[in-house]
Amino acid sequence: MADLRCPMCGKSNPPQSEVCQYCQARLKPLVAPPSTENEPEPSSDSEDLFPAKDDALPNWLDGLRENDEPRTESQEEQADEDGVETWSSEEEQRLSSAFTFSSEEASDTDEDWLARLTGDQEHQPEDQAPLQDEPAESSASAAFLDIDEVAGDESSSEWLAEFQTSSLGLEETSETSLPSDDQGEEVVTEGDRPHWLDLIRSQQQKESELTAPMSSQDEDLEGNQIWGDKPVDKEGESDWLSDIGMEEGEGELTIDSKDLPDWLVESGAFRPESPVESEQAFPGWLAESDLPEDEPAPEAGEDLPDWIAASPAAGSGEINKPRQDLPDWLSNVSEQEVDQSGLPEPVESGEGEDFSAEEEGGLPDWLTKLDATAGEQTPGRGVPALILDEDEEAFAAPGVDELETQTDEDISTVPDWLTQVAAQEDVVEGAAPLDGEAEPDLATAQLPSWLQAMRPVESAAPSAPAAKEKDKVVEKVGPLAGLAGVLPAEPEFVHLSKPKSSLVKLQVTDNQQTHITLLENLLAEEGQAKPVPARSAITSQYFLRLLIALVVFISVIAPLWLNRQLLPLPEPAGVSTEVYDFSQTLAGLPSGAPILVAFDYEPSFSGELEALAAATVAEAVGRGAQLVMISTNPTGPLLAERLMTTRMADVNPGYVNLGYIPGGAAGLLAFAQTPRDLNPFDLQGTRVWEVAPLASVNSVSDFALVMVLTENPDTARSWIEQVQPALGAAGKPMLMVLSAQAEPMVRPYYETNPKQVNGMISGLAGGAAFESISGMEGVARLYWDAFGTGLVIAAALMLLGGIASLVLALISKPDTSEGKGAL
Amino acid sequence: MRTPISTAVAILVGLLILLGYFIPLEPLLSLRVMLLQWAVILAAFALLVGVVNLFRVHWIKVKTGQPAGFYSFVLIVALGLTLAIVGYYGPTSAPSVWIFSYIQVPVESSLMALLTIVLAYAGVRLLHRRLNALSIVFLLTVLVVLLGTAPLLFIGEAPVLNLIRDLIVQIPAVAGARGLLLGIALGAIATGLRILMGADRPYGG
Amino acid sequence: MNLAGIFGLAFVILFFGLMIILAAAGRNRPGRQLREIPAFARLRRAVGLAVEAGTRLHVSVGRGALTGLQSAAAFMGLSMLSRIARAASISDRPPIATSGDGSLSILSQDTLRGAYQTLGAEGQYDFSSGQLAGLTPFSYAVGTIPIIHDEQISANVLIGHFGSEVALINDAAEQSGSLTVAGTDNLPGQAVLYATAQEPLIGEEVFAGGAYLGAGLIHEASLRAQDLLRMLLVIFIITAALLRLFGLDSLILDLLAGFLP
Repeated sequence: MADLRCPMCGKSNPPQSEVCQYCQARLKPLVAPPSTENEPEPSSDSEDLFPAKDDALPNWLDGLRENDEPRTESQEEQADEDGVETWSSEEEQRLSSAFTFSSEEASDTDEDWLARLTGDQEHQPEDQAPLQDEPAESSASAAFLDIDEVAGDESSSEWLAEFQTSSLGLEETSETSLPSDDQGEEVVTEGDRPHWLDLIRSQQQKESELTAPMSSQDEDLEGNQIWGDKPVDKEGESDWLSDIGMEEGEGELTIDSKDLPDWLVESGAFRPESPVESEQAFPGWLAESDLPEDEPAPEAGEDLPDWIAASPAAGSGEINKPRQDLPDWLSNVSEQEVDQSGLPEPVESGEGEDFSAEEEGGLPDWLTKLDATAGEQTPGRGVPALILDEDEEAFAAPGVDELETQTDEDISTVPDWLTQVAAQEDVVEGAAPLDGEAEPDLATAQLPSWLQAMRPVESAAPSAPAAKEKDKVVEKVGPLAGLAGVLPAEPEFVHLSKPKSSLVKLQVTDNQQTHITLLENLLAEEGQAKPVPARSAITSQYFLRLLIALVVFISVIAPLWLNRQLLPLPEPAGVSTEVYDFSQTLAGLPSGAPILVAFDYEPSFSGELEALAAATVAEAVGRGAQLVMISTNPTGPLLAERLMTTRMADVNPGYVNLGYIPGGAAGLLAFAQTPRDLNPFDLQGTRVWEVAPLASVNSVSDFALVMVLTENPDTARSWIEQVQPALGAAGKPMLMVLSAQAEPMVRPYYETNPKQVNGMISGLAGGAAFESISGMEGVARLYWDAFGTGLVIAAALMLLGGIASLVLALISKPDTSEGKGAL
Repeated sequence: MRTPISTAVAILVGLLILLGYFIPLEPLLSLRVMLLQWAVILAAFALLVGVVNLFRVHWIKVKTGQPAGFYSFVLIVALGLTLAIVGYYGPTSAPSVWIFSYIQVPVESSLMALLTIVLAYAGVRLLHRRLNALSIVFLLTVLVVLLGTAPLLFIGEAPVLNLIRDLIVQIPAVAGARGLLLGIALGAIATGLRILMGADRPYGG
Repeated sequence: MNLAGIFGLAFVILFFGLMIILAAAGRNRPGRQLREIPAFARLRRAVGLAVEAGTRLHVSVGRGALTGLQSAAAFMGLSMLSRIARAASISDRPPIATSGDGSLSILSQDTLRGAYQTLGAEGQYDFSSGQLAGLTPFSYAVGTIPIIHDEQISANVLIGHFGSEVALINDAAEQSGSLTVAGTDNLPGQAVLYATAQEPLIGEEVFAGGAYLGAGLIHEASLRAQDLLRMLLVIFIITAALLRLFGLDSLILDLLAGFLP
């Protein structure tokens, strides 16, 4: 099997490949299986040039393969209804090969793709699809495009060959049977051919009878005559175009307007009432091309189909130089056109037509009719696509001027090659004008329904070329790479005209507008934090709190208000050992010895610790100690000042307030090592280390005693761990005045051996015990009754609450109350 | 660049302090003391920065009219007045001591009293919030310690309660506290080592 | 260098080595389960609920000074703040952090900024999201209470150094109907938390937050190293107690006499 050529990159791939090995493009299109109803059976006699009946093929393409098979109405209807072109893999291969270059051809970007249709005899397209029926596209441009796409490389030559040899609706069944493809596909039978093609063929036949012998259509039909594969006989024996002529004996070809596409009728190229004239043999679609007036004919090898280039310019009357790459038959046709005086005048195709009759001999009649009919057309009108017969009423094609005045929309339906055909008309030289005398009495052709369906939309009907195509753009990528004059991927009209504003106006219904508004509101709310509803502050728990607070408040205030010593202080004999040791340590202080007192408690605990501090500091002052105050708490110095100015005001001892030690434990360690450097001044800014009591102090171990007042067990540990080693080495004691909550953490330091804490007082109970030992009545005595009463009441409340909770838990359903929270 | 440099500095300084604590080499000791002094100075400045942050937050609350903005205004006024008076008269002057003695200490003492109410309420609701054996033991321990601390009204000293209270405080409480402290110390060492390794970087974001 | 110093340094080195080894082993065997701590499970759920409901999370890192022993708990609070900030950054109301120390407030702001930087949402950072609530314990607690009431807090995460003043914060949280997950290294504070918080973290559970919130493999490794060394310490204490009980402690002490201070 032949290698598959990738339609994208043009490289060969194994035949069994599904995707290209190089660019991963799909080689075999994914097509839906087409309907196999009423499909004519392929001809077994003819070589099948087309692939096997593929459901993906369009009906018109399938129909073209069928030989002499009447086209049923259902087939026609189906063909008309087919709106989607589907191609078999072989089709695509042919197309791809038509529009991609091999390695040899890749460099030759200027090579005329149409030239390959004629000159490349190696290409054996597997199938060809002579134009028998067109898909139900509303625009004729689709037909043009189809023809363009099909008329590619060797694959395109196939269909043209088929077109040459196949029945185009203008011949009888036996005579107009199309050559089948290599795979034995049937050619299109007469019944499947459009009527207008039959008309064209019959016209040609008439021409052939009248003129030099042309290639027999039988010979063309029976063989696998692919247009381009075999040199066309100069006499035109294999000239497919001869097949287009009228049947023998056929008189004037009357083409019903109904059979013609509307655009052909309206364009005026076709006059349904008048007899079809040979001069107007050009179908409208061929004439409706934006052929620039002054555009020179493209050179050989460019993107003109040769058969067009070979034919004489109908409008201008000029004939290009003989093209070397024209098939012989076309060349002969050109010569024939020149030699045959009896040929009808070439159709006036206007200035844009680009037919070059390089070889006058062997020019098919329809081409001669092109010139003839073009001449009869109004100036400026384009070359008709087909010359049916000199006696037939040709499809009048719009002149070039008309083409040039086409709107952009119109241009979009006209293939470029047609514009170039019109442009080449200007420079056609030497070509004998065809006998373009249009027969005045051509009957109006009746357009078949399918052709009428192809009629382009009025607004998009090409009338005149929009711009002269001066620079032929060579396509660079895609299946049309290397071809010039092809439709660009982005047609120019896209850039030339702006869409009408009315076309982009969005019609929004009320329901849609409602949805739009809703969506906008949702998006706007997305960035806004929604307020969370606040909980009510008044709950049942609020009253419980109030009740508990009231009870505790009364239990504490009442003893204070009554001022009656209801609860006795602890007995001195019954005090704890740590309190006793504390007292003993203080009692052993030498007179006048400096002691360091650290006020490291928070103001919130001043209610508890001031009572203890007042008693202990007073005892120390009573022993003659000189107080040096310091703190690792920013509020400590002020607490010391408060104590000395309020509680000790009547005593008024001398003291030094060194202020605050920053850095926590690190600061303590630094102070323990070099206290002079860390706090050289007191709170008033006085250098106190030069005078008593600090004149003899160089380190913390020089103090007689260190007493720490704190509620924080961590602070107590810091003092013990950072400062006590130095004290212990010097045999100096450390005493602790603690809040009740810190006692468990500090007690181990007291109970260790050797003791790291020589004595401690914890809580108001310890203060009361100390006062009892010391024989003083201080703040502890004042608070003792309220303290005791409050403790009892609080305990009672907790006990009651616990019992109530237990009872409620037992009464209610079992519930996991652990971790039960607000969430 | 900021994160690697800050990580490197943190690791280096942490290693120096750690080694200086265990290895009594004179250069290490001196370097350790110097770094600790730097840390002390930085902590003092951090305190000032915190005050500025406090002022800024409440100033924005007042400026934007947020709820409870009046209290933020009172805070700003109090902050300014205190700074002015203490800065002018000195920290140990009579006005400064007066502000501290008659405003701050009473306020904080009142909060402490409020804490008492809160703790009492929490004790009352303890079993309702979390009913299990440990909660019951917790509540009973609280009751014993409370009742064994002070003489009972109309009863006086309760020697049994005092003895039980002393036993609880001196044995299981101390033991539990020691165990908790050991666990906390291990966690603190792990946290410190993570910072020394650079796995935790609370400084660089 | 005395014996205490040697033992201390050896202990630290051993701890470090265990963390490294366990981190490497954990990388090869991921998914090892940690024992269930209900507090962290509820915390994860609370974070998700806060994001969904558009409420705010409050993270408090305590009042521990960075130069003291309380810094470890403070760093733990900062780690959890970072994790929670990353998880809850997409909420309509981003989390807010409070602290009771100047340096902690700076670090909490930096942690929040870093979390948003990591997520590429630095524009969401607001300096007021890291506040210094107060300089004293009760002023810090009182400064935190308005945030709980006014900022529509749905969950409070209190990880750091707290004293008994944390009871006020927990009470305010309960009144506002928000969840409280709290842990502190302060023993009185832990007692208060047990009675007042919905989900208290007792003991060293406060240092396990990183492992339970997925802060990294090293957190899990350090948690396992803590467990191993705790067992080692238990064995050592029991051994020492038995030696003391049988009078062998003097023998040991004599052997180590040259190294003791």
